[in-house]
Amino acid sequence: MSVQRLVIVGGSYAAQQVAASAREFGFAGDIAMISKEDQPPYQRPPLSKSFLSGKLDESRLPLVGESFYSDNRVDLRLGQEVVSIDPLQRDLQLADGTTEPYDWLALCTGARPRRLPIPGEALAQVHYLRTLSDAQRLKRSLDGAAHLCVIGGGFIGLEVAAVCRQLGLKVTVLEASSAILQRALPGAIGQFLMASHEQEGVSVRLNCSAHEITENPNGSVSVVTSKGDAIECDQVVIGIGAEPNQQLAEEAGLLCTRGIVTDTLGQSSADRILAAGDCAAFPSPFAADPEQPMLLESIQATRDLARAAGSLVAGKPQPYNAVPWFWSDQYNLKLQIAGLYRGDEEFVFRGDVSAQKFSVFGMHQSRVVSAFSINSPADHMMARKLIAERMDVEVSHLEDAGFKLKTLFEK
Amino acid sequence: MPKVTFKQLDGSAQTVEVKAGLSVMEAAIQNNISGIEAECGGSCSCATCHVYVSEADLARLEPADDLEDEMLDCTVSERQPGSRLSCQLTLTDEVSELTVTIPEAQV
Ligand SMILES: Cc1cc2nc3c(=O)[nH]c(=O)nc-3n(C[C@H](O)[C@H](O)[C@H](O)COP(=O)(O)OP(=O)(O)OC[C@H]3O[C@@H](n4cnc5c(N)ncnc54)[C@H](O)[C@@H]3O)c2cc1C
Ligand code: FES
Repeated sequence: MSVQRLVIVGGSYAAQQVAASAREFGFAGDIAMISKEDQPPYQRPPLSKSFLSGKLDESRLPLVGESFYSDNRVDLRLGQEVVSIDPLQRDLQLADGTTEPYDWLALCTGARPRRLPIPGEALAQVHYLRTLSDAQRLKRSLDGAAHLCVIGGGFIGLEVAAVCRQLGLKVTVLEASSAILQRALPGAIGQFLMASHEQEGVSVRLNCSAHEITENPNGSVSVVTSKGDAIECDQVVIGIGAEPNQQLAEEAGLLCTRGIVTDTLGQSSADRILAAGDCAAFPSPFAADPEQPMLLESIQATRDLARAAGSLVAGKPQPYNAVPWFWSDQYNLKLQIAGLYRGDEEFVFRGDVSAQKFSVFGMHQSRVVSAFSINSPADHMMARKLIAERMDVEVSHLEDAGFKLKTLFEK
Repeated sequence: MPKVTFKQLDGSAQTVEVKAGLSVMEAAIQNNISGIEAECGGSCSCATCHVYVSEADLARLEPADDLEDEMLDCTVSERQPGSRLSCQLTLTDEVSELTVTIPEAQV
């Protein structure tokens, strides 16, 4: 048999994990990783946290050591863009005109920031945050800035707001809906986080959207809001969500919804084409509807589906069966989420809000389906276990912060 | 430069050098030491960077804070007296040599 060739499109978490797992599970063929970016895979979460605050510099961002690529015989090709794929010929085309054959293709193209289509969105003072170069540019612009306006009360926007407040900037956050993080969290946690931001001195304006950004003669900009006023500030960060990079897949005729549709092995609708990471919509075994392909957009989902895809390439398929989890750091608050927020769950409260240490558990038919923890890692870890084992639990045990949830697993 | 030795359960060991100020987890990641997953990249959110430290070394290190302590209660491999999260162990000029043992499993 000729040597099998795995081509990975993308150069971030999903790409790196597909390569690592394919090798771990014994794939002996060739691996090429083709990425548009100029640097090897690096960590994104710090871009809105410790990198922006200056705690972590570029040298500490790489996902793996340099020798990973040679040790694992991964031909890492940076600064190259894949422009089309041909599933029948089993090859793909690069922007420079060359063609690459594949036996397995893994689409790990990730996502891009959703753009806000308002006048002034392309001004130099306006930022989106996805890549290292976005973060470097933002960091440079913050130097000497006094007032930042964040458009969008999502995770990235709020993390940037927290860092900038700690750097001493005045910060205003505009959120178009009636609460921050509304789609991701129960109201109680959203309100707590909002109050925390306000206590830190951030001005959070709900039900307020940006209509236009104009440049002032002194170099500052003004964000004209739906309320009719204008916020004068030095820099603007727009964080209103991400769009999956699925054009390649769509043009090649692969089944897509919002995201490239795959199964729990990362297998797309086309033979020998896999997808993983922020571009892939897949059925999550712990969702309200476990058949419905969904985009999870987290490191956990990315790595776990990529691991499954790698195992498939190596001929030892290990389907995705993980409990989703996510974290966000804002000020001294560590938010950890286990499971998926559904909207139909009942909530059980544990802990002490005034001590900034509590959790909200989402229950469905006497089982924990989600948990949102503030500075309570043990609650979070135990919730992951309770969700994974689909265990029935007593509400009274959850509510009693003195009751060690760990004992539920001790037999 | 500070040195860390990573011992695997099979008895093999690897010593690596890293810049002062970096964590033991970062030393492992930069050198592709197997058995340290570090899924959250050092934000004390995943407990997949669990290591065992000897008692003598433990005394030289800053003790675990509350968050780390809670995470350590929930590691996949059993918590032992020497359990620490390697992302919370910073190598400095004082703590310039450290040996850690990698547990059986992280996920
Ligand atoms: C600022 C920020 C903070 C975050 N914080 C957290 C957090 O705290 N916790 C958490 O769980 N998640 C967080 N995330 C989300 C997390 O980073 C993503 O889930 C993860 O990066 C997804 O990895 P990926 O490999 O699928 O895609 P991406 O990281 O988006 O990478 C895709 C890669 O593919 C390349 N590419 C795309 N198209 C092509 C092409 N045609 N040819 C060649 N290359 C191509 C891109 O250049 C890029 O390198 C954060 C994200 C951001 C931006
Ligand atoms: S790397 Fe996640 S807890 Fe240490």
